[in-house]
Amino acid sequence: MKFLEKYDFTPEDIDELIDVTPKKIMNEIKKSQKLVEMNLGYLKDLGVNTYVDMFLNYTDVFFMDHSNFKEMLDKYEKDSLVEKLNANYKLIEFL
Amino acid sequence: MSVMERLPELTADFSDQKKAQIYKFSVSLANAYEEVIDILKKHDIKISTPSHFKVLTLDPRTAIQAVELAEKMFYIEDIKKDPKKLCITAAGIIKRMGQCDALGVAYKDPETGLCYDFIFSQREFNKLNLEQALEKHTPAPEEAVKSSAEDIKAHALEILKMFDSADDAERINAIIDKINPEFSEKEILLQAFREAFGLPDDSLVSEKIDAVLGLTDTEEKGMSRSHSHEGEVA
Repeated sequence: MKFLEKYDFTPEDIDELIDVTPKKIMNEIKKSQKLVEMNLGYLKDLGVNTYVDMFLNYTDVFFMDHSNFKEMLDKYEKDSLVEKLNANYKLIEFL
Repeated sequence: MSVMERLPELTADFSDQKKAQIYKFSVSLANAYEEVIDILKKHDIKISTPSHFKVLTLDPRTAIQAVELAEKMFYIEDIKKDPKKLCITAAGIIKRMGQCDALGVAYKDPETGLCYDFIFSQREFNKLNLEQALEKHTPAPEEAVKSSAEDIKAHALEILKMFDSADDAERINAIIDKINPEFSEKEILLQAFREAFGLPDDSLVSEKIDAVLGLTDTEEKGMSRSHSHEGEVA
């Protein structure tokens, strides 16, 4: 999971991920590392600062095909989306 | 039946909005164990939103142990409110509860009876900055000595004999082996007896533990002791 450090995950965040994530999902993260990185990177570049909490709590969403992931987010006006996701990361479940 | 065949059953109470989000959690569905659906059902734990599908990917044995521990440690209502919490390592949850107990820090909302979020997250727990308080906390004399697993099991047997349950020694020892050794001996013994016998009120066991550890302390007077601050307070 060291690759997550590129996205500002602290060692504490990574420990938390291991603590809250079933083994099968951890294996999926390893298998889909490139895809996860693309989706994390997209959120980070948008200006979303709650993507660590999103990843910890809604890991599945980061396994979405990247074009579908982008499409999910690009439906919304960017500044408003970023403001809302930064205020409440749980909205990612319902976009 | 497969998990996908049981999807209508799983999502029967989902709103249209929630049903529209299922596709986002398809990886969890693809990795789900059908047995876990039945385990949750048996304990009246409902999947109420797609993000809960993650709990279905737990190994069934792990799921059963997690549910039973949640019931024994009185946080099953938190699990029913958010089944994803079953995925969180139970030893960590219990350790944080123990640390709060040691410091007299309330970890349940008195109105709802539910645990505060920091019990389910080491990150959130760390934000409370209790480490300094924990380091300063002076353990009771019976907690100051770090006991070996053999000592703890010997003490457990003494307590079992007090309840005429020496036959349960093997079962208790197996539980002791699984508990984080950084806990104090008293915490380890309490947790072991709670898990073995499902005690709603462990005050009697606690008294017996105090008695046994008190006797041992007297027996070992005069021998050198090693004190360790790391993990000393559970």
